[in-house]
Amino acid sequence: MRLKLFCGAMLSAIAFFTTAQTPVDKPEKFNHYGGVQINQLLKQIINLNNNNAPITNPYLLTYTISTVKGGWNLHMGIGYDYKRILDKNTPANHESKISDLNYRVGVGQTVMFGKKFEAGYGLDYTAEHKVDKTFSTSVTNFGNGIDSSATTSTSKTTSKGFGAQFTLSFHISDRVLIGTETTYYYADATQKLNVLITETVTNDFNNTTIVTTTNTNLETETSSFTFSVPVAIFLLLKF
Amino acid sequence: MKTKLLIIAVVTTAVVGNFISCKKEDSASIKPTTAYLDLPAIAYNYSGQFPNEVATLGRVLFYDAHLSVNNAVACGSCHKQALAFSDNVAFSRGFENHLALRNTLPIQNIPMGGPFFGPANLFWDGRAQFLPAMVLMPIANHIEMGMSDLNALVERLKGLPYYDNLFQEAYGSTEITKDEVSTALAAFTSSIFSNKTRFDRYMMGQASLSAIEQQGKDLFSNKYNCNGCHHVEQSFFGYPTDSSFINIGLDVNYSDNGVGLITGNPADNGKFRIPSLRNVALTAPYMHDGRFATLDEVLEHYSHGIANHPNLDSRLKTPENTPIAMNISSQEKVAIVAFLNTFTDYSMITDPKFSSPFKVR
Repeated sequence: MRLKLFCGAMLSAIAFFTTAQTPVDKPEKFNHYGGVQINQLLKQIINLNNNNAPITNPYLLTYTISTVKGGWNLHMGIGYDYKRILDKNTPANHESKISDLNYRVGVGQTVMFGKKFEAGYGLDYTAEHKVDKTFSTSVTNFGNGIDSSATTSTSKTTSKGFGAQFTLSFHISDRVLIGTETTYYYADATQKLNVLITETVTNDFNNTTIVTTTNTNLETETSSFTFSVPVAIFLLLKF
Repeated sequence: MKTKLLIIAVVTTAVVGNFISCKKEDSASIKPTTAYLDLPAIAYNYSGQFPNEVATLGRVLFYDAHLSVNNAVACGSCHKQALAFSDNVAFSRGFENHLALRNTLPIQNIPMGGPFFGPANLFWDGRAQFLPAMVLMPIANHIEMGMSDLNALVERLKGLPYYDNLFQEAYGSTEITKDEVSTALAAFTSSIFSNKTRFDRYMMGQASLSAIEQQGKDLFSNKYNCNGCHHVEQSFFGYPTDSSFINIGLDVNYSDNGVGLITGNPADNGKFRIPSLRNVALTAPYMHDGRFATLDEVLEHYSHGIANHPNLDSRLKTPENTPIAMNISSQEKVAIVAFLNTFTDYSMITDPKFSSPFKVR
């Protein structure tokens, strides 16, 4: 529900600001930028300190609208990652399907220095929704019978936070910018884990079958400060 | 107008794509594989301080994914026998596919620790001193196996029929307790023993080294004094016991402070275990965060990459208190790696008594 509200708000904001564009014969009040941030790729190319810590937002599609005068801006970004992991590790084969949606929205200001460089700072609200569904199954023949288990675990992690963002961009041309950013975010995360296990034991000795179902719910909350070193790179196109 | 449409299309595609993908998640395509417990009629001889039946129980527990909260991960999922019970990724994945915080250490020649044997200094930061207590930590860990309630683990094992017989043979009763589980796992893991490398046989006068291996040994022991920390000659089992946590200048600022996180002492920041080099050719990637993919990269670190951390070990400093640069030539690296390859124990990594008892026909 919150996600839908956010998307609605984002689309409304885009519609508002883009509607606010003036006819071509009048001076532009706003600049519009669309871009992509390729964090993981850059980390693989330039690994500043050999650190292997994973990047949770491998890429981000971004949109920024900024005032021509003053450089004040509203910026937003959205990234989505989907993974399927299959592990045939006897006796338990398991398959995981993981979807990870992260987005952020914020306000800031950019300032030109020199003819080509632009520095910026801002305040962001950031959120992440991650769903990991893991299916695990095992069948063990123990001589006098068979034990089989089927497990579905669903982990939903919702993380919300805020923090500061600093950017440095270089104008390759009037319409193309390349840049890097560093962020310092505080985030609260809530993780809900549900594990549903169905265990079936068939005993050949007394010809019985026992089915046991257990349903476990766990919830954990964590808080963290995350400082991301400037390894992200972004490419912006000015409309 | 076109701009508006483009932006709306991109955002809508991303959001709708997410919902479609979420809908698809509800079906599993994985098929079960029927395994059977392949245990010998007479238990293998584990030559340890515990009865063989206890170690056998530990072997089954070690490879049983029922020990994780969602039946997806066993100890053996990350500690793979073919890799000297290490893993071939920088960070192994836990039960929810979250990455572990440090590189998986190999399991071999592990001290038991405890009041009679002294501290075992287990893990990269030495925070666990007693093996039977340590073996439960990954099981309960919120990233690794997630079984935070160990009483629930006991209840789960009681529901698995094949454990009745194993506990009966190990402890004389089908009753299952947490202590029995930890003792059995400790019995198995402490029995994983390596002493049949070519270098072991060389040390006993039963094998020789080739010319390049001999050159590597000389470089290792003399010119570059790697043996000053790794003790492959002094300690037959290649497992350092003293001063075994040092800072080797991986970074100027560590994102993981290692021993410093345990002691809270800034002088311990960036200190990690000096790992055993036994089976080192099998345990890549290297370092606590798996940053080096190959032994060549490790040697390059010592050659030109040592960072000037305040806690840098004195053996890696010049008299002027700056990091040393060993300037190891390409040919010397080849020789040292050839020597390190003599530490591989092929019998341990293929020994059936350490293998998974869950077999597929």
